[in-house]
Amino acid sequence: MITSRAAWRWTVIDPLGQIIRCGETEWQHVIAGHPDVQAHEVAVRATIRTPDAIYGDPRSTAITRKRGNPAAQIVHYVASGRTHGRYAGNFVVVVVKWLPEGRAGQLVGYVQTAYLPNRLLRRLHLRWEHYP
Amino acid sequence: MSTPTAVTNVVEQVIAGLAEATWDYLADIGWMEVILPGGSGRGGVAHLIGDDLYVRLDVENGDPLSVIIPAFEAWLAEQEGRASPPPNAPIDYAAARKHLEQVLRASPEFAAS
Repeated sequence: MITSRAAWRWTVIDPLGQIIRCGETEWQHVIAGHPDVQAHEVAVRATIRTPDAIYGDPRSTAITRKRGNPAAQIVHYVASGRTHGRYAGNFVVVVVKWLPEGRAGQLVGYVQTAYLPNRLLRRLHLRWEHYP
Repeated sequence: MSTPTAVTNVVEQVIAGLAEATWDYLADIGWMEVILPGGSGRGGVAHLIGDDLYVRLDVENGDPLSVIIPAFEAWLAEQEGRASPPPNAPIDYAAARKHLEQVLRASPEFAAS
């Protein structure tokens, strides 16, 4: 369980009140081949803090659980209107692993990857939606 | 927006690059990115193909950069007609490449006009 690492690049609170952490190592892996995501780091953080929607990803969740995290959930934080320049019009999607931690089992999230798609995967399940 | 003919050319570029591609597996969540030669370090947008995978296209010139396959093991099992991946089986990259070629050629997004 990842609870004591000091090298968090950043931590934000999502609209459900959950702590979402991004590790420096994970972030460097995300941006290693994807300068588009690197240029949108502010948008990535904003998408976790105030997404348009949060979707569950049952297929990725099943794989993660088989790998030894039986209580893990993989979710996608999604926002539109936050890309700029040549990327304008695309979504920001941040893939996060939720893990229950501590005695109370409070969910804490860890950023796994991020990308800028033109459309969303079709097999996601809506978990939370922003109502303006 | 790309025309069907242009996208068909993208498919052929992807398939031509698969032989020299780097398969980068994010094991914790089971996502695979197949990085085509020269496809790393360039800005791209992920274009959804079918239900389950993305092709990242260069934002400058539309060249394909990589293919992202979320829940890769489940995707591969589905392509092979199995309900779930075999436990602890090594990744069969040759089979994955073959199925990826088939999916790309058959997808409506790549239908020639």
